[in-house]
Amino acid sequence: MSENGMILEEQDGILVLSMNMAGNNLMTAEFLNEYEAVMAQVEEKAANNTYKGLIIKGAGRHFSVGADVDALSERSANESYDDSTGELPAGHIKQKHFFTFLRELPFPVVSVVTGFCIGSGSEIAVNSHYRIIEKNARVGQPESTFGILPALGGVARTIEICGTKNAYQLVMSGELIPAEDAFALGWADIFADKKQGVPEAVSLINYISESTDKFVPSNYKEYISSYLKNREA
Amino acid sequence: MTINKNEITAKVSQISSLYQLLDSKEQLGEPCLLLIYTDSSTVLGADDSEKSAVKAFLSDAQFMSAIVSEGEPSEELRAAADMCIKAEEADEFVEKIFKDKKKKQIQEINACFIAARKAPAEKVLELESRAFYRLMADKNGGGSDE
Repeated sequence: MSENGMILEEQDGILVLSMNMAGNNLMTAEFLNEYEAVMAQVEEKAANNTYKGLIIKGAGRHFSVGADVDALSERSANESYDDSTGELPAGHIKQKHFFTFLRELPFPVVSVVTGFCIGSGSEIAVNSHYRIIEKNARVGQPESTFGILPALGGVARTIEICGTKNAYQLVMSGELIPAEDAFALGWADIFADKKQGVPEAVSLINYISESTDKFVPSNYKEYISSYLKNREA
Repeated sequence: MTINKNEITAKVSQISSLYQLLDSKEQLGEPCLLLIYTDSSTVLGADDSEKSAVKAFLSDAQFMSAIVSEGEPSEELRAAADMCIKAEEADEFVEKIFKDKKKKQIQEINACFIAARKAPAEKVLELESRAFYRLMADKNGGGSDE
C-alpha cells in the first residue's frame, strides 16, 4: 500500500482503517492529528448505523510503535493542568475521546495486531472491543519505564480485558510481550497466523452481524465467547 | 506473624489468619504492595464476622495486596486479595514490576487499580489521565500545578 496517511475504506459493509503513517505509525503530533480526523469520520459514519464493524490495522508490518516520549513530554509541558481542580486539558480530553469512544461504537471494533503494538498504539487496540494478534507481534505499555503511565485507556481497559494481576504486571513492568503471551494473558482474543488477522476479523464481524439484530457494546464479551464456541464446534 | 518491609513492599509471613492483619495495621506502614505469604492452614478469618472485616480491610486498602502461596490458595483467600502469586515467583515478580520506579509513580498507578476494585471504568479512565499529568509534571521538572 503506497498511499500515506489514515486510509479509511469500506469493504462489504465493514469499515477498514489502515494506518500508514511515518515511522511505523510513530505517534507524533501529525499522527494524532490524522488519527483524530479519521476517527471523527468514523464517529460520523457510525451515526448512520449502516456498518457491520470496524477493523483497525497497520498498513505495513507494524500496528504502531507508539508515542515519541520526548515529543509527548514537550507537548504535555505546554498543556495547562491544575491538579487542585482536576480539570484536564481540552486537547487531552479530545484526544482521549477518540481512543475510548471505540468501545461505545454501535458495531464491533476489531484491532488486527501485527508487528509492534506499543504504548499509545496499544491503547488503540485495548480500547477496541476485540484484538486479533498475529504470530510474531509484540505488545506492551512501556510508559511506566519512562516515569509515567498509559493515559489513553491503557490502564482502565487492560484491567477490564486481562484482569488485575496480568494488567498490573503489564502496566507496572512496561515489558513487551510476544503474541503468544498476549493471547495467554487474555490481552488478545484470537491468535492468528501471519496474514490471517484480517480474514479472521471479517469472519468475527460477519458472525456478530448475522447472529444479532443489534450490537450492544456493553455485551461485547458475550459475542466473542459465542463466536469462539461456534468456531470450535 | 512476621512483617518485613521496605519503602515499597511489606511481606507478611507466618500468618494463620488474615484477621491478624487488622491488629497490625500500623506495623504494615504504607506499602505499595502487601505480600501475604500463606500456607495450607492459613484462613481468611475464624468466622463470618472476621472474614467480612478482612475483606473490607483489603478492599478499602490504599495499597495492592497479593496472596503468595506454594499451592493453590483457597477461593476465599484468592477473592479477598487483588492478586495471587506463586511463592517461587514472588521475588522475581516484585523485582520486575517495581524496578527503577519511585514510590510516587507506583502510588499513582496503584490508585487506578485500587479504584478499579469498586469504581466503573469511566472513573479509572479519569484517574489515569490526572495521574499522567502529575507524573509528567514531575518528569518535566515541576509540580503538577501549572
